[in-house]
Amino acid sequence: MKHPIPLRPENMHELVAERVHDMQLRGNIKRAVDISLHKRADVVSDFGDWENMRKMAHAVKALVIDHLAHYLAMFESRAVAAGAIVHFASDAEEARTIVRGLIQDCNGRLVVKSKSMTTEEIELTHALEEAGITCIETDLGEYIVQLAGEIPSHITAPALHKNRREIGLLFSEKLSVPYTDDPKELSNIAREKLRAAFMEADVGISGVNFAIAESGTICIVENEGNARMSSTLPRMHIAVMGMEKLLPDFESLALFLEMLGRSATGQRLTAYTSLLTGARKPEENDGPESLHIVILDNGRSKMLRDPNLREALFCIRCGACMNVCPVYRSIGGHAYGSVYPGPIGSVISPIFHGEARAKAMPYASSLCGACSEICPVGIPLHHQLLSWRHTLVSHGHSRLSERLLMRMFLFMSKRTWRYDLAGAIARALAPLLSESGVPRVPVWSRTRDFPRIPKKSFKQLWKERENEHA
Amino acid sequence: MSTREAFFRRLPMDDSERLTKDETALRGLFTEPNQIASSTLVDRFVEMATHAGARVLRCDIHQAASTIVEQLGIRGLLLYADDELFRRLGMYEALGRCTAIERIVNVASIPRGRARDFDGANASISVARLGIANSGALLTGISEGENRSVSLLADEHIAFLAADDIVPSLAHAVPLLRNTAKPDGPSAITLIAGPSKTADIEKVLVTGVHGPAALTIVLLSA
Repeated sequence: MKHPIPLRPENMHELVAERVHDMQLRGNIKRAVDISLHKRADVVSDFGDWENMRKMAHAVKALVIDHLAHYLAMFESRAVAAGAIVHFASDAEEARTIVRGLIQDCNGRLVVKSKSMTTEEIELTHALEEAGITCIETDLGEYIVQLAGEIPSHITAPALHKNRREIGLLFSEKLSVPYTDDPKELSNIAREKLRAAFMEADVGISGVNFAIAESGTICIVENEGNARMSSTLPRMHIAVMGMEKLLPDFESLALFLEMLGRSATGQRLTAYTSLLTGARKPEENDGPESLHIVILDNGRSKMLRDPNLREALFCIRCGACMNVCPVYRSIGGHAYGSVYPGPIGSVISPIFHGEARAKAMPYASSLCGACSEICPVGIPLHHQLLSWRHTLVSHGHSRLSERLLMRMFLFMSKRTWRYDLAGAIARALAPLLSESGVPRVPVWSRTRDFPRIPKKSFKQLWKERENEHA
Repeated sequence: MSTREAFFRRLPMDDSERLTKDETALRGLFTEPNQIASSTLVDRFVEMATHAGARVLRCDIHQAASTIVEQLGIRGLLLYADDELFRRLGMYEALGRCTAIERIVNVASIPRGRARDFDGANASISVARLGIANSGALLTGISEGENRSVSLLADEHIAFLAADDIVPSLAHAVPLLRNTAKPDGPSAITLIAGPSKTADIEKVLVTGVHGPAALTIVLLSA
């Protein structure tokens, strides 16, 4: 069994324990994210004013999120004018129902899907398969993950946790092809299998990277061409987008396109950037007959009203925060149990999965701030993680032992004499706790060394120092 | 209450006075994009397009047709035969003389919704409207008669670009995008930077995973 523990956020502790000592996995992850980071550093230096661009990007997103109703209505009316059909979905269930209904109404049997985190979020593929609709992931990484029956472990490189040998074995087992571990040959196998699917499919489904309010255009960014295929060849295209994906105009789009590829994969621009305005026009001889855009809330309006979470809606899903995160680099994306891993995943998953289920995620951070520093739109991720911890505790999502200890600490810290006394008692008792004089705390000490307790308190040392200098 | 109403009710009320103020403030942050001397512009474009994995052939406008016929191993070819530039370049005469080409498909002759019919062509030709120097990308889908599949389904995509149509960055393409992405404009405009590629397996770069495995840019100087 590859995954004895289901990939769900409530299983995070077990998922981490299973992976944290897996050096093969850690090597796979580190190699992949370091390549992205090195390439990113190269191309970010194209601009002397990257920091200024970050500020501008932050300002654009702040404008859109502050006036979301205005820009959503504008986007809707322009998209409709161009021939698209716009749907609004309050939650995952509504979105799934809309998409399923659209496919069933046109008697669709085969769906080709290009990479989209939003459709992962609403577990769309699963819902469609249950309704008897075959749904094929066409991004190579997603295809690998689908064959393996897993979820993506990184938002831009879904199969990053697997090495070529593992993928070769997977292909030979699931696709009945001779074993090869050559990436080129593996890609060719996928190309052949998927090209046939593109030609046969009734419906294409994709996500949306940016939605441009001024023209009702959706922008899809990719490298492989599968999003172009799935938005060009089938007779119906359905694009699912979170409502925060809006940009006001083409000036903003130019700025964000310069930043997204650079931040995500270290590319100046991804191979293909599609700007889709409406369905096929009368004079055109290809493209889908209908274009449906499903705009999803699913907790986003709740984030918008929360001053601590609002800026998480600025995210453009580049994945840079996970590439630099020391926790992500050690445990990988699956350990979080959520489709959105890493720092941004830990901020938004409690909204999508519920606080109780995802309560471990905001603790999966050293709060070092590397995520906030690299974020192209300047989301204060580590502050948000800290604020989540506060929220979780105040909502009662903490252990009784932790609450008691904190109560004791509060009582002890309120008066100087109590603090001094507690310190003295601790110093006196410490040597008795274990032979080595190093106290052991259950569970915690399994992977960490407790610091040796000094003989004198800081206050005492400071006083002695003052006396010496006096 | 409809889903749409419920959806908008969850959002803060619109404040048009504040919106105008915020929009003006943001516009102040966007400055006019810098211009670059046209001589360095072309070199920069060639460097970046090559970096993105494209092959760039620079040639005089009169040699264009013979260049692609000589340099590329085309068997089946897909193009929009009525394109004014192709006609001016004498493309058809040059292609007609080339015996290696077994089949030429005119995009215009393909009936509505039958784009999949030309999956067999191993090369396709289209005209790019703009080149973006700082990323080596081509702006496609705007030229008359060009459809989405031309630059997507063949093994090799050949794009013609006039050297005069190179701009420094995406910011310079904004006016054209604004004028084109309209209700009666093309349903798809595509920026293409290099061939189809993936790095999903161990970050090893592989070209041609779904789209064309090769992109040749024929850069025409007047």
